[in-house]
Amino acid sequence: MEIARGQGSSVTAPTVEKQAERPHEVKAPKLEISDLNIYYGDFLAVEAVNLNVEPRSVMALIGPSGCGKSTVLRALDRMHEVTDGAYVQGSVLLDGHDIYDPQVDPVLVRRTIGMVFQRPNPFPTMSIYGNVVAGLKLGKAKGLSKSDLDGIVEKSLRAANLWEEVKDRLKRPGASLSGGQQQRLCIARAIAIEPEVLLMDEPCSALDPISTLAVEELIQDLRAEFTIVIVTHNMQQAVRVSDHTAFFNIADIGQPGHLIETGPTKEIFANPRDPQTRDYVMGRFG
Amino acid sequence: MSLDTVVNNASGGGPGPSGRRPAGDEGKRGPSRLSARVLPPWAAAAAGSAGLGLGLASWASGITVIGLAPAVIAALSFFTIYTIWTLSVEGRRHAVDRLATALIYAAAVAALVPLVWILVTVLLRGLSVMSWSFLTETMRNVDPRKAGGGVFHAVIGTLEQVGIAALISVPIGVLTAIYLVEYGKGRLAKSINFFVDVMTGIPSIVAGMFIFTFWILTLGFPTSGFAGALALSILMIPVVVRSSEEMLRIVPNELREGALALGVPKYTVIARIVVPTAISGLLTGVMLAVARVTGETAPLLLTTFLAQDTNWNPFSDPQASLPTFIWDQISRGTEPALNRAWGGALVLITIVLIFYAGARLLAVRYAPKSR
Repeated sequence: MEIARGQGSSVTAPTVEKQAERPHEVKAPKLEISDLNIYYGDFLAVEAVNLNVEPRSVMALIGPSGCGKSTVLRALDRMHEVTDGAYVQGSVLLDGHDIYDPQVDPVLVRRTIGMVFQRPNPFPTMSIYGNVVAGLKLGKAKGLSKSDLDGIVEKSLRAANLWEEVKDRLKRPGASLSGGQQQRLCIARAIAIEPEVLLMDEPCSALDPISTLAVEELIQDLRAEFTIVIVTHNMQQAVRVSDHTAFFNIADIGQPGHLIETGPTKEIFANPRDPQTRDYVMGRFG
Repeated sequence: MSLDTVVNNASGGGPGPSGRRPAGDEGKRGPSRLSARVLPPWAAAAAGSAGLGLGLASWASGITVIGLAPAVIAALSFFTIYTIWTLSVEGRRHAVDRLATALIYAAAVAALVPLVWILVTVLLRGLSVMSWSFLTETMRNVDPRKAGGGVFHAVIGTLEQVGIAALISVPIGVLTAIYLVEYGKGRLAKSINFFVDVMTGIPSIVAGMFIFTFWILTLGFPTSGFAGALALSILMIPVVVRSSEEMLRIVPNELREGALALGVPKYTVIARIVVPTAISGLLTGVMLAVARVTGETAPLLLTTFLAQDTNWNPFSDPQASLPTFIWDQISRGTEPALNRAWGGALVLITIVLIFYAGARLLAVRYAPKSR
C-alpha cells in the first residue's frame, strides 16, 4: 500500500515507532474501547462497553436487534455524532490515542477508520471509477495524478474482487451495478483511502447468498492488511469470518444495551460462559 | 388505455384472460363459482354517448340557458345512467367502483379544461397580431389607437428584470435551503422557516409597495428595472428556498454518511455529493420560480413604471416589461391595443415555456444516471 499517507495518519503518528519497538510481542490492541457510554440525546443506548480489538483480525459484533451493535460500530469512527443530539462518554483508543480527544479532528479519524454500510450507497452522480476515488479526490489526497489514481482504482477494485467484472466499464455510473457489486464497490471505495481499520455494518444483509460469499471471501483477504470490525445478524457468518466475537444484549426495550461476553469466536459459539450468550448462539431467543 | 379498460381492471370483475364471458356466452363449460355478471366493454362509451346526447338535446331544445349547463347535464346523466346500469348488472361494489373512477376522470378533465381554454384563446388571439415586426419593434411613436408597434422593449425589460431577480434570489434561496437542510437546528432555523413561510404569503403588490417606499422614496434610487427586480426577488426567494429545500431533503442520508465516513469534510460532502445528486430538482425548482415571477405585474407597475421605448439600462429610468405592456395595452381599451395585449400574452407564455423546457432539458442532462 504505497499511497501517500498525507494528513490522514496524523492522528496515529506515533504508531510506527510503537510497533517497531516490539515487533513480535503480544499484539497491542488496535482499538481499545473503555467505559464507553453512547447516548442519543437523553437516551443511553449502550452502557459501559469495554472491548479490545487486535490488529489484523476480524471482530464480530452480534446480538439481537436494538442491542446497540451498530451504535457501537458508529462510535468507533465518530459517525455516531453525525446524528442530531448524539454523543458518547468514555474513550476509544486507536493505537493508544483517544479518538474522542477534543483536539482530534473527526474527519481525520474517518480517514484512518473506514466504514462500509448496511445498504450499498454508491454516489449516484459518479462513475464506478469516480466512486472508488471519491474519498481521495474529495478529501484525503487531493491532487493525485491520473496515473496514481488509475493504479489505486485497479488495486482497490481487485482487492474488493470486483475488478474483473467492471474493468471494461469504469466510466459507467456506479448505480448501474447489481446490489452485490455495488456493495463491493463501496468496499473498494472504503479501502481506496487506505484506512487502518475497516468497520462493516451488516455488509451482507442486503445481498443474495452468492454476493454474500464474495464479500466474506473478501473479508478473509482483507484481514491480512486491515483490522476489521463487523456487525452481523448472521451467526454462521460470524463463525465463518471472525477471530473474535462480542455478544451484546438488552434487558428490555428502552434499556441500554450491554456487552455481555467477548472472546475467541470458537469459544463464544462452542463454550459460552454467560447463559444469555448460550441462549442466543443456540437460537433460543432473539 | 380507455376508461372502460381501466374500470374493468380496477373493479377486478372483468373477464379473465381467456375472455370467457360467463353471462350470455354459453361455452363448453358453464360459469364457474368465481364468475360474475359483467357489463360489456363498451358500457362506459355507451353511457357516455347517452349522457352527451341528453346534454346536446337540452341545449338544442333551449331548456338550458346558462353556458355551462348542457355540459353539467351531460355529465350528470352519464353518472346516473352508468351507475344504475352497473348496479343492476354487476352489483353495488362494482357500481361504487365505476362511479368513483368516472368521477376521478371527470375531475381530471374539468381541471384541464380552463388550462386548454386559456392556451387556445391566447394562441388564436395572439397569433392574429404576431409578426416579425411585432417582435422587433417598440411602441415608440405608435398611436395606441392604431395597429402597429411591437413588444421588443418589453421583452428586453422582462429578460433583464427576471435575470437580475434570478441572480439575486437563486444564490440566497439555494444557500438558505442548504443551511436549513444541512446545518439548521434550533432557534435560528425555526425563525428562518417562519419568515420564509411569511414571505411566501406576501401579496405581490405589497412587495412592490415595499420596494417603492423603501428603495425609491426613502433611499432615493431611481425608478428602474433593477428596482423591479428587487421586488421580484422578494417573491422569488421563498419559492426557491422551499423547492430547493424539498429537493435537498430527498437526497438519501446514506449518501451523506457514506461520504463523511470516507473522511470527506462536510462542506465538500454538500458541494460535491448532495448538491450534484439534487441538481436536476434544484434546476427545475429555480426555473419554476422564474416562471412564476415572469408574469408578475403589480410589483413592476410600482417600481419600473411604463415605457414605450427600449431601455437597455436596468439601473435607471422606467423600463417596460411584458406584464406591464399587457396591462398598459388593455388599459388603452382600443381594438388594436387589445390585440397587442394578446400578442404580448402569447410572447410571455412562450418565454415561460422556453424557460420550463430549458429546465427540463438541463434536469434530464444532469440527473443521476443508473444505466
